[in-house]
Amino acid sequence: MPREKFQTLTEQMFYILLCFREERCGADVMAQVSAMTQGRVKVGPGTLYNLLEQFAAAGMIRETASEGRRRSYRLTERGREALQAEYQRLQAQTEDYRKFFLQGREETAAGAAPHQEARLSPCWQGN
Amino acid sequence: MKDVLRRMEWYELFDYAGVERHLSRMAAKGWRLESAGRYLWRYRRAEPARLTYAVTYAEDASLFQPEPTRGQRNLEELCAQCGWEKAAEWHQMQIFCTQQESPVPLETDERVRLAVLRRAMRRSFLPARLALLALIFLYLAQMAFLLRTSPVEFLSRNSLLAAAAALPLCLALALVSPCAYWLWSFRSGRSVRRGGPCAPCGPWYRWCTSALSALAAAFLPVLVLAGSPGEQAYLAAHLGIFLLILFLLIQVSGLLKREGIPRGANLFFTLAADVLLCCALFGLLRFAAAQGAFALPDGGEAAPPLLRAEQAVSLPQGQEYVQEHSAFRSPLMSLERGGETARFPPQPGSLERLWYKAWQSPYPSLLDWANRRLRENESSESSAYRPEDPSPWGAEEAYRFWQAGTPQNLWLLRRGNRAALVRFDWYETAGAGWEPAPAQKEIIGKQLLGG
Repeated sequence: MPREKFQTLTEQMFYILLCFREERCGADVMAQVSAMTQGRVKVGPGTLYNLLEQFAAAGMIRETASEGRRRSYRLTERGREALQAEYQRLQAQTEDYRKFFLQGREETAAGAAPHQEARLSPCWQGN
Repeated sequence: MKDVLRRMEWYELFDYAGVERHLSRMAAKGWRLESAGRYLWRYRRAEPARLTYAVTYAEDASLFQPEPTRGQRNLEELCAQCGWEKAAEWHQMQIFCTQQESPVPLETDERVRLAVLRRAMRRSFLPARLALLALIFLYLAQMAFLLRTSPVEFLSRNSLLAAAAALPLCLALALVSPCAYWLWSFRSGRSVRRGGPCAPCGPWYRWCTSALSALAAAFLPVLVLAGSPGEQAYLAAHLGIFLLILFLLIQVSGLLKREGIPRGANLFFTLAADVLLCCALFGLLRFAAAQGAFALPDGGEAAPPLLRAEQAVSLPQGQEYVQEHSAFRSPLMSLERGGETARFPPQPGSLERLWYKAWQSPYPSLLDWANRRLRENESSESSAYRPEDPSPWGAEEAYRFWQAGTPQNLWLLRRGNRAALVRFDWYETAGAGWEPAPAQKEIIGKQLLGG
Protein backbone atom coordinates (compact mmCIF):
# COMPACT_ATOMS: atom_id res chain seq x y z
CA MET A 1 0.00 0.00 0.00
CA PRO A 2 1.61 3.37 -0.97
CA ARG A 3 2.63 5.58 1.89
CA GLU A 4 0.31 8.53 2.43
CA LYS A 5 1.90 11.88 1.63
CA PHE A 6 3.37 13.57 4.74
CA GLN A 7 2.82 10.40 6.78
CA THR A 8 6.44 10.83 7.88
CA LEU A 9 8.14 14.21 7.67
CA THR A 10 11.70 14.90 6.63
CA GLU A 11 13.72 17.26 8.81
CA GLN A 12 13.08 20.16 6.44
CA MET A 13 9.33 19.51 6.47
CA PHE A 14 9.29 19.21 10.27
CA TYR A 15 11.14 22.47 10.94
CA ILE A 16 9.23 24.43 8.30
CA LEU A 17 5.93 23.44 9.92
CA LEU A 18 7.37 24.23 13.32
CA CYS A 19 8.18 27.76 12.14
CA PHE A 20 4.49 28.37 11.40
CA ARG A 21 3.32 27.66 14.93
CA GLU A 22 2.89 31.42 14.91
CA GLU A 23 2.19 33.64 11.93
CA ARG A 24 5.36 34.10 9.96
CA CYS A 25 6.46 35.26 6.56
CA GLY A 26 7.55 32.44 4.27
CA ALA A 27 10.69 34.32 3.30
CA ASP A 28 11.88 34.31 6.95
CA VAL A 29 11.63 30.54 7.33
CA MET A 30 15.07 29.75 5.90
CA ALA A 31 16.84 31.93 8.46
CA GLN A 32 14.53 30.75 11.26
CA VAL A 33 15.18 27.05 10.64
CA SER A 34 18.94 27.61 10.53
CA ALA A 35 18.72 29.53 13.83
CA MET A 36 16.52 26.89 15.50
CA THR A 37 18.94 24.08 14.60
CA GLN A 38 22.20 26.06 15.06
CA GLY A 39 22.90 25.70 11.36
CA ARG A 40 22.44 21.91 11.35
CA VAL A 41 19.41 21.98 9.07
CA LYS A 42 19.39 24.18 5.99
CA VAL A 43 16.35 24.77 3.81
CA GLY A 44 17.01 25.83 0.25
CA PRO A 45 14.67 28.33 -1.45
CA GLY A 46 13.57 25.78 -4.05
CA THR A 47 12.69 23.22 -1.38
CA LEU A 48 10.94 25.89 0.71
CA TYR A 49 8.90 27.10 -2.25
CA ASN A 50 7.73 23.60 -3.19
CA LEU A 51 6.92 22.64 0.41
CA LEU A 52 4.96 25.85 1.03
CA GLU A 53 2.86 25.07 -2.08
CA GLN A 54 2.37 21.46 -1.00
CA PHE A 55 1.54 22.27 2.64
CA ALA A 56 -0.96 24.89 1.51
CA ALA A 57 -2.55 22.45 -0.96
CA ALA A 58 -2.71 19.77 1.79
CA GLY A 59 -4.37 22.25 4.16
CA MET A 60 -1.57 22.07 6.71
CA ILE A 61 -0.82 25.79 6.55
CA ARG A 62 -2.95 28.70 5.45
CA GLU A 63 -1.99 32.05 4.01
CA THR A 64 -2.82 34.82 6.47
CA ALA A 65 -1.40 37.92 4.79
CA SER A 66 0.14 39.01 1.52
CA GLU A 67 2.18 42.21 1.10
CA GLY A 68 3.51 42.39 -2.43
CA ARG A 69 5.60 39.27 -2.84
CA ARG A 70 5.85 38.55 0.91
CA ARG A 71 3.27 36.03 2.01
CA SER A 72 2.64 35.03 5.60
CA TYR A 73 1.37 31.67 6.78
CA ARG A 74 0.15 30.01 9.92
CA LEU A 75 -0.25 26.38 10.93
CA THR A 76 -3.75 24.88 10.66
CA GLU A 77 -5.24 22.17 12.86
CA ARG A 78 -4.24 19.59 10.30
CA GLY A 79 -0.69 20.90 10.32
CA ARG A 80 -0.62 20.71 14.12
CA GLU A 81 -1.79 17.09 13.97
CA ALA A 82 0.93 16.23 11.46
CA LEU A 83 3.56 17.84 13.70
CA GLN A 84 2.19 16.08 16.74
CA ALA A 85 2.18 12.72 14.95
CA GLU A 86 5.77 13.24 13.83
CA TYR A 87 6.79 14.26 17.35
CA GLN A 88 5.24 11.08 18.77
CA ARG A 89 6.94 8.99 16.12
CA LEU A 90 10.31 10.53 16.96
CA GLN A 91 9.63 10.08 20.67
CA ALA A 92 8.84 6.40 20.15
CA GLN A 93 12.07 6.05 18.19
CA THR A 94 14.20 7.68 20.86
CA GLU A 95 12.48 5.59 23.54
CA ASP A 96 13.21 2.40 21.61
CA TYR A 97 16.82 3.51 21.21
CA ARG A 98 17.09 4.22 24.93
CA LYS A 99 15.48 0.93 25.91
CA PHE A 100 17.22 -1.45 23.53
CA PHE A 101 20.54 0.18 22.91
CA LEU A 102 21.54 2.39 25.80
CA GLN A 103 19.94 0.31 28.58
CA GLY A 104 21.24 -2.90 27.05
CA ARG A 105 24.77 -1.53 27.07
CA GLU A 106 24.40 -0.42 30.70
CA GLU A 107 23.22 -3.90 31.74
CA THR A 108 26.07 -5.53 29.84
CA ALA A 109 28.58 -3.23 31.51
CA ALA A 110 27.08 -4.04 34.97
CA GLY A 111 27.54 -7.80 34.26
CA ALA A 112 24.03 -8.90 33.32
CA ALA A 113 23.14 -12.66 33.71
CA PRO A 114 23.55 -14.78 30.56
CA HIS A 115 19.81 -15.50 30.38
CA GLN A 116 19.11 -11.75 30.46
CA GLU A 117 21.50 -11.19 27.54
CA ALA A 118 19.71 -13.87 25.59
CA ARG A 119 16.43 -11.90 25.87
CA LEU A 120 17.90 -9.17 23.67
CA SER A 121 17.60 -9.69 19.95
CA PRO A 122 20.90 -10.74 18.33
CA CYS A 123 21.44 -7.47 16.54
CA TRP A 124 21.40 -5.53 19.83
CA GLN A 125 23.99 -7.71 21.56
CA GLY A 126 27.60 -6.62 21.82
CA ASN A 127 28.45 -3.35 20.06
CA MET B 1 32.77 38.22 -33.05
CA LYS B 2 29.14 37.23 -32.62
CA ASP B 3 27.32 38.08 -29.40
CA VAL B 4 24.55 35.50 -29.66
CA LEU B 5 25.02 31.76 -29.89
CA ARG B 6 22.26 29.30 -30.72
CA ARG B 7 22.95 25.67 -29.94
CA MET B 8 21.10 22.40 -30.19
CA GLU B 9 20.96 21.00 -26.67
CA TRP B 10 19.68 17.50 -26.03
CA TYR B 11 18.96 17.87 -22.30
CA GLU B 12 15.73 16.49 -20.93
CA LEU B 13 13.55 18.07 -18.26
CA PHE B 14 14.70 15.60 -15.57
CA ASP B 15 18.45 16.01 -16.19
CA TYR B 16 18.91 18.97 -13.85
CA ALA B 17 22.46 17.95 -12.88
CA GLY B 18 23.55 17.80 -16.51
CA VAL B 19 22.03 21.21 -17.21
CA GLU B 20 23.73 22.75 -14.18
CA ARG B 21 27.17 21.42 -15.11
CA HIS B 22 26.79 22.40 -18.75
CA LEU B 23 25.73 25.98 -18.03
CA SER B 24 28.59 26.46 -15.55
CA ARG B 25 31.03 25.28 -18.25
CA MET B 26 29.47 27.65 -20.81
CA ALA B 27 29.69 30.58 -18.36
CA ALA B 28 33.38 29.82 -17.82
CA LYS B 29 33.81 30.09 -21.61
CA GLY B 30 31.96 33.44 -21.69
CA TRP B 31 28.43 32.38 -22.71
CA ARG B 32 25.40 33.06 -20.51
CA LEU B 33 22.09 31.32 -21.11
CA GLU B 34 19.42 33.73 -22.30
CA SER B 35 16.54 31.41 -23.23
CA ALA B 36 15.94 27.67 -23.41
CA GLY B 37 13.62 25.95 -25.88
CA ARG B 38 12.89 22.27 -26.57
CA TYR B 39 16.16 21.75 -28.48
CA LEU B 40 17.45 25.23 -29.33
CA TRP B 41 19.04 27.25 -26.54
CA ARG B 42 20.23 30.85 -26.94
CA TYR B 43 23.34 32.19 -25.22
CA ARG B 44 24.69 35.70 -25.01
CA ARG B 45 28.35 36.61 -24.85
CA ALA B 46 29.61 37.84 -21.50
CA GLU B 47 32.82 37.96 -19.51
CA PRO B 48 34.00 34.47 -18.63
CA ALA B 49 33.06 33.87 -15.01
CA ARG B 50 32.82 31.12 -12.44
CA LEU B 51 29.08 30.84 -12.02
CA THR B 52 27.14 28.18 -10.21
CA TYR B 53 23.91 27.21 -11.87
CA ALA B 54 21.06 25.44 -10.13
CA VAL B 55 17.72 24.11 -11.30
CA THR B 56 14.44 23.87 -9.47
CA TYR B 57 10.91 23.24 -10.68
CA ALA B 58 7.79 25.40 -10.45
CA GLU B 59 4.78 23.15 -10.88
CA ASP B 60 2.44 25.91 -12.03
CA ALA B 61 4.78 27.20 -14.75
CA SER B 62 3.73 26.64 -18.37
CA LEU B 63 4.79 27.59 -21.91
CA PHE B 64 1.32 29.04 -22.37
CA GLN B 65 1.44 31.30 -19.31
CA PRO B 66 1.41 34.99 -20.36
CA GLU B 67 3.53 36.10 -17.42
CA PRO B 68 5.19 34.51 -14.40
CA THR B 69 2.64 33.05 -11.99
CA ARG B 70 2.35 34.23 -8.41
CA GLY B 71 4.14 31.06 -7.37
CA GLN B 72 7.01 31.72 -9.77
CA ARG B 73 7.39 35.27 -8.48
CA ASN B 74 7.40 33.90 -4.95
CA LEU B 75 10.12 31.42 -5.92
CA GLU B 76 12.22 34.18 -7.49
CA GLU B 77 11.86 36.25 -4.34
CA LEU B 78 12.99 33.38 -2.11
CA CYS B 79 15.93 32.60 -4.39
CA ALA B 80 16.97 36.25 -4.59
CA GLN B 81 17.15 36.27 -0.78
CA CYS B 82 19.85 33.62 -1.02
CA GLY B 83 21.73 35.33 -3.81
CA TRP B 84 20.30 33.34 -6.73
CA GLU B 85 19.37 35.22 -9.90
CA LYS B 86 16.97 33.79 -12.46
CA ALA B 87 18.67 32.95 -15.78
CA ALA B 88 15.93 31.27 -17.84
CA GLU B 89 13.05 28.83 -17.70
CA TRP B 90 11.83 25.92 -19.78
CA HIS B 91 8.43 24.42 -18.98
CA GLN B 92 8.52 23.84 -15.21
CA MET B 93 12.32 23.99 -15.08
CA GLN B 94 13.53 27.24 -13.48
CA ILE B 95 17.22 27.95 -13.97
CA PHE B 96 19.10 30.18 -11.50
CA CYS B 97 22.70 31.24 -11.17
CA THR B 98 24.95 32.84 -8.57
CA GLN B 99 28.49 34.08 -8.30
CA GLN B 100 28.80 33.08 -4.64
CA GLU B 101 31.53 30.60 -3.82
CA SER B 102 29.44 28.44 -1.43
CA PRO B 103 25.82 29.32 -2.06
CA VAL B 104 22.89 27.83 -0.15
CA PRO B 105 21.68 25.04 -2.48
CA LEU B 106 18.31 25.59 -4.10
CA GLU B 107 17.21 22.08 -3.21
CA THR B 108 18.00 20.61 0.20
CA ASP B 109 15.44 17.81 0.39
CA GLU B 110 15.90 15.06 -2.20
CA ARG B 111 12.53 13.49 -1.43
CA VAL B 112 10.77 16.75 -2.28
CA ARG B 113 12.93 17.28 -5.38
CA LEU B 114 12.10 13.80 -6.70
CA ALA B 115 8.37 14.15 -6.05
CA VAL B 116 8.19 17.58 -7.74
CA LEU B 117 10.20 16.40 -10.72
CA ARG B 118 8.01 13.35 -11.21
CA ARG B 119 4.91 15.54 -11.20
CA ALA B 120 6.49 17.95 -13.70
CA MET B 121 7.36 15.05 -16.01
CA ARG B 122 3.84 13.63 -15.80
CA ARG B 123 2.45 17.01 -16.73
CA SER B 124 4.79 18.21 -19.50
CA PHE B 125 6.80 15.35 -20.90
CA LEU B 126 5.17 11.97 -20.61
CA PRO B 127 1.76 12.70 -22.24
CA ALA B 128 3.38 14.01 -25.43
CA ARG B 129 5.93 11.18 -25.56
CA LEU B 130 3.33 8.50 -24.99
CA ALA B 131 1.15 10.02 -27.71
CA LEU B 132 4.13 10.02 -30.10
CA LEU B 133 4.93 6.39 -29.26
CA ALA B 134 1.29 5.42 -29.78
CA LEU B 135 1.34 7.16 -33.18
CA ILE B 136 4.53 5.35 -34.23
CA PHE B 137 3.13 1.97 -33.12
CA LEU B 138 -0.05 2.74 -35.06
CA TYR B 139 1.98 3.51 -38.15
CA LEU B 140 4.02 0.31 -37.68
CA ALA B 141 0.83 -1.70 -37.35
CA GLN B 142 -0.49 -0.05 -40.52
CA MET B 143 2.69 -0.99 -42.40
CA ALA B 144 2.51 -4.56 -41.13
CA PHE B 145 -1.13 -4.76 -42.19
CA LEU B 146 -0.34 -3.39 -45.65
CA LEU B 147 2.53 -5.83 -46.10
CA ARG B 148 0.29 -8.71 -45.08
CA THR B 149 -2.75 -7.76 -47.17
CA SER B 150 -1.05 -6.24 -50.25
CA PRO B 151 2.48 -7.66 -50.28
CA VAL B 152 3.13 -7.00 -53.97
CA GLU B 153 2.04 -3.34 -53.77
CA PHE B 154 4.10 -2.87 -50.61
CA LEU B 155 7.32 -4.51 -51.82
CA SER B 156 7.30 -2.74 -55.17
CA ARG B 157 7.15 0.81 -53.79
CA ASN B 158 10.39 2.46 -52.75
CA SER B 159 8.50 5.05 -50.75
CA LEU B 160 6.80 2.41 -48.57
CA LEU B 161 10.02 0.42 -48.12
CA ALA B 162 11.89 3.56 -47.10
CA ALA B 163 9.09 4.52 -44.69
CA ALA B 164 9.16 1.02 -43.21
CA ALA B 165 12.93 1.30 -42.76
CA ALA B 166 12.56 4.74 -41.15
CA LEU B 167 9.95 3.67 -38.61
CA PRO B 168 12.27 1.59 -36.37
CA LEU B 169 14.63 4.57 -36.36
CA CYS B 170 11.77 6.87 -35.30
CA LEU B 171 10.72 4.36 -32.65
CA ALA B 172 14.25 4.15 -31.23
CA LEU B 173 14.48 7.95 -31.16
CA ALA B 174 11.14 8.24 -29.37
CA LEU B 175 12.05 5.56 -26.82
CA VAL B 176 15.44 6.91 -25.69
CA SER B 177 14.16 9.72 -23.45
CA PRO B 178 11.28 7.88 -21.76
CA CYS B 179 13.59 4.92 -21.06
CA ALA B 180 16.26 7.25 -19.64
CA TYR B 181 13.66 8.92 -17.45
CA TRP B 182 12.14 5.69 -16.13
CA LEU B 183 15.58 4.30 -15.34
CA TRP B 184 16.60 7.49 -13.57
CA SER B 185 13.25 7.67 -11.68
CA PHE B 186 13.56 4.05 -10.51
CA ARG B 187 17.17 4.47 -9.35
CA SER B 188 16.45 7.84 -7.71
CA GLY B 189 13.43 6.43 -5.86
CA ARG B 190 15.54 3.59 -4.49
CA SER B 191 18.32 5.98 -3.45
CA VAL B 192 15.98 8.51 -1.83
CA ARG B 193 14.17 5.76 0.12
CA ARG B 194 17.55 4.87 1.62
CA GLY B 195 18.14 8.50 2.55
CA GLY B 196 20.48 9.31 -0.31
CA PRO B 197 20.32 11.80 -3.17
CA CYS B 198 18.61 11.40 -6.53
CA ALA B 199 20.61 9.19 -8.90
CA PRO B 200 22.95 10.73 -11.46
CA CYS B 201 21.54 10.73 -14.99
CA GLY B 202 24.57 10.18 -17.19
CA PRO B 203 25.07 11.57 -20.71
CA TRP B 204 24.29 8.31 -22.56
CA TYR B 205 20.76 9.33 -23.49
CA ARG B 206 22.03 12.58 -25.06
CA TRP B 207 24.58 10.71 -27.14
CA CYS B 208 21.90 8.27 -28.30
CA THR B 209 19.44 11.06 -29.15
CA SER B 210 21.98 13.12 -31.09
CA ALA B 211 23.33 10.06 -32.95
CA LEU B 212 19.86 8.81 -33.88
CA SER B 213 18.78 12.33 -34.90
CA ALA B 214 21.83 12.64 -37.15
CA LEU B 215 20.98 9.27 -38.69
CA ALA B 216 17.37 10.33 -39.22
CA ALA B 217 18.47 13.60 -40.83
CA ALA B 218 20.80 11.68 -43.17
CA PHE B 219 18.00 9.24 -43.99
CA LEU B 220 15.48 11.96 -44.84
CA PRO B 221 16.79 12.62 -48.37
CA VAL B 222 16.73 8.86 -49.01
CA LEU B 223 13.10 8.77 -47.89
CA VAL B 224 12.17 11.70 -50.11
CA LEU B 225 14.07 10.50 -53.17
CA ALA B 226 12.96 6.86 -52.82
CA GLY B 227 9.62 7.40 -54.48
CA SER B 228 8.61 8.27 -58.00
CA PRO B 229 8.72 11.98 -58.95
CA GLY B 230 5.05 12.26 -58.06
CA GLU B 231 5.62 10.65 -54.65
CA GLN B 232 8.64 12.87 -54.03
CA ALA B 233 6.56 15.97 -54.67
CA TYR B 234 3.79 14.61 -52.45
CA LEU B 235 6.17 13.88 -49.56
CA ALA B 236 7.90 17.25 -49.97
CA ALA B 237 4.48 18.95 -49.83
CA HIS B 238 3.67 16.89 -46.71
CA LEU B 239 6.85 18.00 -44.95
CA GLY B 240 6.35 21.59 -46.06
CA ILE B 241 2.83 21.67 -44.62
CA PHE B 242 4.06 20.12 -41.36
CA LEU B 243 6.75 22.81 -40.96
CA LEU B 244 4.29 25.55 -41.91
CA ILE B 245 1.78 24.39 -39.29
CA LEU B 246 4.54 24.20 -36.66
CA PHE B 247 5.63 27.76 -37.50
CA LEU B 248 2.06 29.10 -37.44
CA LEU B 249 1.29 27.45 -34.10
CA ILE B 250 4.39 28.97 -32.50
CA GLN B 251 3.24 32.38 -33.80
CA VAL B 252 -0.33 31.87 -32.56
CA SER B 253 0.77 30.75 -29.10
CA GLY B 254 3.32 33.59 -28.88
CA LEU B 255 0.75 36.18 -29.95
CA LEU B 256 -1.79 34.99 -27.40
CA LYS B 257 0.91 35.05 -24.72
CA ARG B 258 1.89 38.65 -25.59
CA GLU B 259 -1.78 39.67 -25.48
CA GLY B 260 -1.98 38.37 -21.92
CA ILE B 261 -4.45 35.59 -22.70
CA PRO B 262 -4.67 33.17 -19.73
CA ARG B 263 -2.91 29.81 -19.96
CA GLY B 264 -6.05 27.70 -20.36
CA ALA B 265 -7.47 29.84 -23.16
CA ASN B 266 -4.08 29.99 -24.90
CA LEU B 267 -3.80 26.19 -24.81
CA PHE B 268 -7.35 25.77 -26.10
CA PHE B 269 -7.01 28.19 -29.01
CA THR B 270 -3.59 26.84 -29.98
CA LEU B 271 -4.94 23.27 -30.05
CA ALA B 272 -8.01 24.41 -31.99
CA ALA B 273 -5.76 26.18 -34.51
CA ASP B 274 -3.69 23.00 -34.79
CA VAL B 275 -6.73 20.84 -35.57
CA LEU B 276 -8.15 23.36 -38.07
CA LEU B 277 -4.86 23.85 -39.90
CA CYS B 278 -4.21 20.09 -40.12
CA CYS B 279 -7.69 19.36 -41.46
CA ALA B 280 -7.58 22.24 -43.94
CA LEU B 281 -4.04 21.90 -45.30
CA PHE B 282 -3.68 18.12 -45.28
CA GLY B 283 -7.23 17.80 -46.59
CA LEU B 284 -6.29 20.10 -49.48
CA LEU B 285 -3.20 17.99 -50.13
CA ARG B 286 -5.23 14.78 -50.28
CA PHE B 287 -7.74 16.42 -52.59
CA ALA B 288 -4.97 17.62 -54.90
CA ALA B 289 -3.44 14.12 -54.93
CA ALA B 290 -6.81 12.57 -55.78
CA GLN B 291 -7.15 15.02 -58.68
CA GLY B 292 -3.80 13.86 -60.04
CA ALA B 293 -1.77 16.89 -59.03
CA PHE B 294 1.19 14.63 -58.21
CA ALA B 295 1.55 12.78 -61.54
CA LEU B 296 -0.61 9.63 -61.37
CA PRO B 297 -3.27 9.39 -58.63
CA ASP B 298 -1.78 6.14 -57.33
CA GLY B 299 1.79 7.50 -57.46
CA GLY B 300 2.98 5.14 -60.19
CA GLU B 301 4.88 5.92 -63.36
CA ALA B 302 3.29 5.92 -66.81
CA ALA B 303 4.14 2.91 -68.98
CA PRO B 304 2.74 1.16 -72.08
CA PRO B 305 0.03 -1.42 -71.31
CA LEU B 306 0.99 -5.07 -71.06
CA LEU B 307 -2.31 -6.45 -72.34
CA ARG B 308 -5.10 -4.96 -74.45
CA ALA B 309 -8.67 -6.18 -74.26
CA GLU B 310 -8.76 -6.76 -78.03
CA GLN B 311 -5.72 -9.06 -77.73
CA ALA B 312 -7.44 -11.25 -75.15
CA VAL B 313 -11.08 -11.45 -76.31
CA SER B 314 -13.21 -10.47 -79.27
CA LEU B 315 -14.90 -7.14 -78.76
CA PRO B 316 -18.21 -5.91 -80.25
CA GLN B 317 -18.03 -3.23 -82.97
CA GLY B 318 -18.13 0.31 -81.72
CA GLN B 319 -17.39 -0.48 -78.07
CA GLU B 320 -14.73 1.94 -76.81
CA TYR B 321 -12.41 1.35 -73.90
CA VAL B 322 -10.48 3.64 -71.55
CA GLN B 323 -6.97 2.48 -70.76
CA GLU B 324 -4.97 2.81 -67.56
CA HIS B 325 -1.54 1.52 -66.71
CA SER B 326 1.10 2.32 -64.13
CA ALA B 327 4.40 0.82 -63.01
CA PHE B 328 6.27 0.67 -59.70
CA ARG B 329 9.82 -0.40 -59.08
CA SER B 330 11.97 -1.16 -56.05
CA PRO B 331 15.11 -3.24 -55.43
CA LEU B 332 12.86 -6.04 -54.11
CA MET B 333 10.07 -6.15 -56.65
CA SER B 334 8.65 -4.45 -59.74
CA LEU B 335 4.94 -4.20 -60.47
CA GLU B 336 2.90 -3.20 -63.49
CA ARG B 337 -0.85 -2.94 -63.30
CA GLY B 338 -3.57 -1.67 -65.54
CA GLY B 339 -6.47 -2.56 -67.68
CA GLU B 340 -9.27 -1.30 -69.86
CA THR B 341 -12.75 -0.20 -68.88
CA ALA B 342 -15.63 0.03 -71.36
CA ARG B 343 -17.07 3.48 -71.85
CA PHE B 344 -20.63 3.73 -70.55
CA PRO B 345 -22.95 2.23 -71.54
CA PRO B 346 -21.29 -1.14 -72.30
CA GLN B 347 -22.96 -3.14 -75.05
CA PRO B 348 -24.84 -6.29 -73.99
CA GLY B 349 -22.58 -9.34 -73.98
CA SER B 350 -19.43 -7.23 -74.06
CA LEU B 351 -16.42 -7.15 -71.79
CA GLU B 352 -17.06 -4.47 -69.18
CA ARG B 353 -13.56 -4.42 -67.72
CA LEU B 354 -10.20 -6.10 -68.12
CA TRP B 355 -7.89 -5.76 -65.15
CA TYR B 356 -4.39 -7.18 -64.60
CA LYS B 357 -1.25 -6.85 -62.61
CA ALA B 358 2.14 -8.44 -63.21
CA TRP B 359 5.09 -8.51 -60.86
CA GLN B 360 8.55 -9.93 -60.69
CA SER B 361 11.34 -10.20 -58.16
CA PRO B 362 15.03 -11.19 -58.30
CA TYR B 363 14.37 -13.13 -55.07
CA PRO B 364 12.39 -16.34 -55.74
CA SER B 365 11.57 -16.91 -52.07
CA LEU B 366 10.13 -13.39 -51.84
CA LEU B 367 7.99 -14.04 -54.91
CA ASP B 368 6.82 -17.37 -53.42
CA TRP B 369 5.89 -15.68 -50.18
CA ALA B 370 4.03 -12.82 -51.89
CA ASN B 371 2.06 -15.26 -54.08
CA ARG B 372 1.23 -17.45 -51.11
CA ARG B 373 0.01 -14.43 -49.11
CA LEU B 374 -2.11 -13.31 -52.05
CA ARG B 375 -3.81 -16.74 -52.25
CA GLU B 376 -4.27 -16.96 -48.48
CA ASN B 377 -5.77 -13.46 -48.27
CA GLU B 378 -8.53 -14.43 -50.67
CA SER B 379 -9.18 -17.82 -49.11
CA SER B 380 -12.21 -18.43 -46.96
CA GLU B 381 -14.72 -21.21 -46.32
CA SER B 382 -16.46 -20.51 -49.63
CA SER B 383 -13.65 -19.14 -51.80
CA ALA B 384 -10.12 -20.13 -52.77
CA TYR B 385 -7.63 -20.30 -55.59
CA ARG B 386 -7.63 -23.77 -57.14
CA PRO B 387 -4.76 -25.04 -59.30
CA GLU B 388 -5.38 -25.84 -62.96
CA ASP B 389 -3.34 -26.92 -65.98
CA PRO B 390 -0.72 -24.21 -66.54
CA SER B 391 0.49 -25.35 -69.97
CA PRO B 392 -2.15 -23.54 -72.13
CA TRP B 393 -1.03 -20.30 -70.42
CA GLY B 394 2.66 -20.99 -71.07
CA ALA B 395 3.13 -20.88 -67.31
CA GLU B 396 4.64 -23.08 -64.63
CA GLU B 397 1.74 -22.54 -62.20
CA ALA B 398 -1.84 -21.47 -62.79
CA TYR B 399 -4.70 -20.98 -60.35
CA ARG B 400 -8.32 -20.02 -60.89
CA PHE B 401 -10.40 -18.28 -58.25
CA TRP B 402 -13.53 -20.16 -57.15
CA GLN B 403 -16.31 -18.68 -55.07
CA ALA B 404 -19.30 -20.55 -53.65
CA GLY B 405 -18.51 -23.52 -55.90
CA THR B 406 -18.47 -21.38 -59.08
CA PRO B 407 -15.33 -20.57 -61.08
CA GLN B 408 -14.69 -16.82 -61.36
CA ASN B 409 -12.98 -15.08 -64.25
CA LEU B 410 -9.85 -14.42 -62.20
CA TRP B 411 -6.56 -16.25 -62.72
CA LEU B 412 -3.17 -16.24 -61.01
CA LEU B 413 -0.22 -17.29 -63.18
CA ARG B 414 3.47 -17.78 -62.55
CA ARG B 415 6.54 -18.53 -64.60
CA GLY B 416 10.13 -18.23 -63.35
CA ASN B 417 10.56 -15.03 -61.35
CA ARG B 418 7.38 -13.46 -62.71
CA ALA B 419 3.72 -13.75 -61.74
CA ALA B 420 0.46 -12.13 -62.83
CA LEU B 421 -3.21 -11.75 -61.95
CA VAL B 422 -5.80 -11.20 -64.66
CA ARG B 423 -9.55 -10.62 -64.29
CA PHE B 424 -12.33 -10.32 -66.84
CA ASP B 425 -15.55 -8.57 -65.79
CA TRP B 426 -18.33 -9.18 -68.28
CA TYR B 427 -21.49 -7.11 -68.69
CA GLU B 428 -24.37 -8.64 -66.73
CA THR B 429 -24.28 -12.43 -66.96
CA ALA B 430 -22.30 -12.67 -70.18
CA GLY B 431 -19.28 -13.97 -68.28
CA ALA B 432 -21.07 -16.88 -66.59
CA GLY B 433 -19.45 -20.13 -67.63
CA TRP B 434 -16.96 -18.30 -69.84
CA GLU B 435 -13.68 -20.10 -70.46
CA PRO B 436 -10.89 -18.51 -72.52
CA ALA B 437 -9.92 -20.56 -75.56
CA PRO B 438 -6.40 -22.09 -75.61
CA ALA B 439 -5.28 -19.49 -78.12
CA GLN B 440 -6.57 -16.69 -75.86
CA LYS B 441 -4.79 -18.23 -72.85
CA GLU B 442 -1.55 -18.41 -74.82
CA ILE B 443 -1.74 -14.70 -75.76
CA ILE B 444 -2.66 -13.60 -72.22
CA GLY B 445 0.16 -15.67 -70.70
CA LYS B 446 2.69 -14.41 -73.24
CA GLN B 447 1.74 -10.74 -72.69
CA LEU B 448 1.69 -10.88 -68.90
CA LEU B 449 4.51 -13.33 -68.17
CA GLY B 450 6.80 -12.29 -71.00
CA GLY B 451 7.24 -14.10 -74.28
